[in-house]
Amino acid sequence: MCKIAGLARHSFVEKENNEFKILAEFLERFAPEVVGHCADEPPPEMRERLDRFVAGQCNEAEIEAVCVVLRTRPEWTNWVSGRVKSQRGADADGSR
Amino acid sequence: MQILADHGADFELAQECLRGDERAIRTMQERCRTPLMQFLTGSGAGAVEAEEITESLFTDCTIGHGTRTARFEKYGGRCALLSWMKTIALNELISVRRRQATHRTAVEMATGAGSNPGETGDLPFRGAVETAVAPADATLPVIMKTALQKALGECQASELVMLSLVHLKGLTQREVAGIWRWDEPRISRALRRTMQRIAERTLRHARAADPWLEIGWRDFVQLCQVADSPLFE
Repeated sequence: MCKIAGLARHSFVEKENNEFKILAEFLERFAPEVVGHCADEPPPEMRERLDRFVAGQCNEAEIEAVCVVLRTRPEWTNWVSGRVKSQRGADADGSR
Repeated sequence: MQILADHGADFELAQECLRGDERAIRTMQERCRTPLMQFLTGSGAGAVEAEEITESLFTDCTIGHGTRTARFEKYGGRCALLSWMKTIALNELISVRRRQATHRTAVEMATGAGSNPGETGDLPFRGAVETAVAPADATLPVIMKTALQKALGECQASELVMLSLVHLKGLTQREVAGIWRWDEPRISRALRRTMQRIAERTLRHARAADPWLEIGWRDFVQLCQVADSPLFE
């Protein structure tokens, strides 16, 4: 029973996943060349804020504020996701 | 070629149709006729209109007209053949609707100016008619893009970033839950709710641009997959 529920949930997440990706790719095909956003790396003061965000140390208002910045600089979400992914190994080691 | 590997069988079928293989043309028509007509009637076309567009599309896909090559020349197998044909069919339906709307406007203007278009059998004047604006003069991809952008613009930044981190950047819901300091089910509900809102708002904005456009969300997403400008030339 749980297995079936798990599979159903998985396929729902996959469907949503695909949908959002399709929408994003659709908009990307219309997007003009981005000029002036060469730096994928956020500046140091922003990195500090983003690190707090990644570490789950922001309150609701701070999260919204960081997300407003990330919305205008979507390339920084790569940096954010990179930070989270880099902790995967460390978390696994720590939980052993 | 990766593109062809995805829908290689469809690509082969289209190529055989282009070569004039009657069996392939029959197969393509049998496979696509009912879903195309259902899609068109579901998008607001009448039964006769849906049949006309579908049959005309079958001809256009396999035979060129004048300087225009057969439409299948532009099919590269990047998406399913049926999805590709649906996009063209829907675009054709939009064009038909616009021509009808422009004609209605012109007739109303002619009638308002004291002429009876019914007596002359055609539009009795040109000047004002040529400047009449159809309800929506954007192409289908532009309507879709604008509607989607408006819907996304109505989302909170945090809602979009959360979707992006999970669905585009590959973070797990557990990892995102850690950032937001929520539990996973709450993240899951938030993601689902945002997607539902995006769907509802996008369709609402699309219908506002073209009121008769009655496509569902599934069709909208499917059209996003194939909505490339070359299709609409």
